[in-house]
Amino acid sequence: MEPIIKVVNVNKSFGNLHVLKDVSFTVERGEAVVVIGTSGCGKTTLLRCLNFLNEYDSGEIYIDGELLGYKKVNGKLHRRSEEEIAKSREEVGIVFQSFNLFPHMTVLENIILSPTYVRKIEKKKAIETAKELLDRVGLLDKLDEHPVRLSGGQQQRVAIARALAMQPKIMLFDEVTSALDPELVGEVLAVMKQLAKSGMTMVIVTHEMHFAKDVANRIIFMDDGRIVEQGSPKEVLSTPKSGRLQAFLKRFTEDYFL
Amino acid sequence: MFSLFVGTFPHLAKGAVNTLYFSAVCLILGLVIGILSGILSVIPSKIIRGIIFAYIYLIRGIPLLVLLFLTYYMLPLFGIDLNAGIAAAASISIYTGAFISEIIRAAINSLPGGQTDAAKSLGMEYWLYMRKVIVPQALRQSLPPIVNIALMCIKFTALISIISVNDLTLAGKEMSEVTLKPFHIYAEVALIYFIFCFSLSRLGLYLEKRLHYVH
Repeated sequence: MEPIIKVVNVNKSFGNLHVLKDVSFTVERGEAVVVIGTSGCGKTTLLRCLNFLNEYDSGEIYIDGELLGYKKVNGKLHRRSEEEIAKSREEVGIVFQSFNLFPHMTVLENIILSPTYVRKIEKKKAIETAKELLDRVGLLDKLDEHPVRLSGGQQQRVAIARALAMQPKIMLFDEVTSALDPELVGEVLAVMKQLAKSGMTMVIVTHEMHFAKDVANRIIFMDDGRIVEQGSPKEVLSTPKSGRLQAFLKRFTEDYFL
Repeated sequence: MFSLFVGTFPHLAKGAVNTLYFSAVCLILGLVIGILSGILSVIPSKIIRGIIFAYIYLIRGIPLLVLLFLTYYMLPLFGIDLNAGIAAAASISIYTGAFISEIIRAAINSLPGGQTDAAKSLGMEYWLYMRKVIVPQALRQSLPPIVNIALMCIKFTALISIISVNDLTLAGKEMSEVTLKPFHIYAEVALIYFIFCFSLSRLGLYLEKRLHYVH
């Protein structure tokens, strides 16, 4: 079977800043891929390209066999219509570092908004699904709360439930624990671990090395906009080949002794 | 002095009712114009944005009194014969709308980009997330400054006395000429304006509390 995500020679610049340089990789169905690297190495940009929140300049990204964001006519890329782009985003859920829940809505309203308006699912059915998802992330009792009343960890779990409510084929996680107090990190990672176990395809940008080791089928190490190394957690974390990855990992092991 | 108040009150009250009426009309129209143009001032279409900015910059660069005169004296030159009341209401609404528009635009722009990211990532298209995510939050944020403009709007209406619309200020002027006690009369007029504005401020505070995310 063909990979669910196929990234081919993708480049992305912000003005003069060349953020992604000929990035290529694939993700198989049901795989959990963790992307690591120093801040500013392009991993968040890469993740945001995967649902076209950032528009890549050249190269190709295929989601489930379909070229993302562009149409190829005579070998040239033409941007798809807003409608088509919105449609393709339905298949790729993303969870952000800063939660981005809608503060004027309750937890339940946050979750059912897109299923009812975009997927056109009947409201009753959407509420049912929302309750199941909230139960899964352990927040069924917060149904009618507004996001501000929840802790960071709880907000992030709601954000995961909201993304899952669209029944995406792929879930992206962009440093989802970086804004959390240390004691709240565990509850979010537990939900993600459970999700990976259930067979969801996941691409995860994180600095939690223990979690990466536990959950990842594959780890990708990025540096300066390029994929430098990738492989099983054991290969990448225990026997790093490149000097850059060795230096990166050394910083982490040093941190544990601080 | 008490009898002075009692004696002049019926006439002032009539003017006050007109002031209230004008304030309400101008405020409602101003809100409609302001909210619509505020939303249109951030949409992707450059042409529409250009038109909205022309309106806002033009209006903000003219004193209300001059706009009032322009509407009242100029339109008849083009064969449009407005009575003083309509000319006044139109000017104040357009004027108030321009300021409300900028408040809305600022509120929309001040929302964290993550809100749009999240909405887009959930498959929402532009007008859906504007309607469900962006504008509702922007309106909540705009409430305090909009109340501020609404208070200004009530006081803007005092200017219409100049083109002989029978409002509270004109009634006050007439009464002070009749009684020859301008200080007392204008104190009474000021008190009535104050009561209107104070009530609106309180209403604004009440709404602000009601609309706060945490109940």
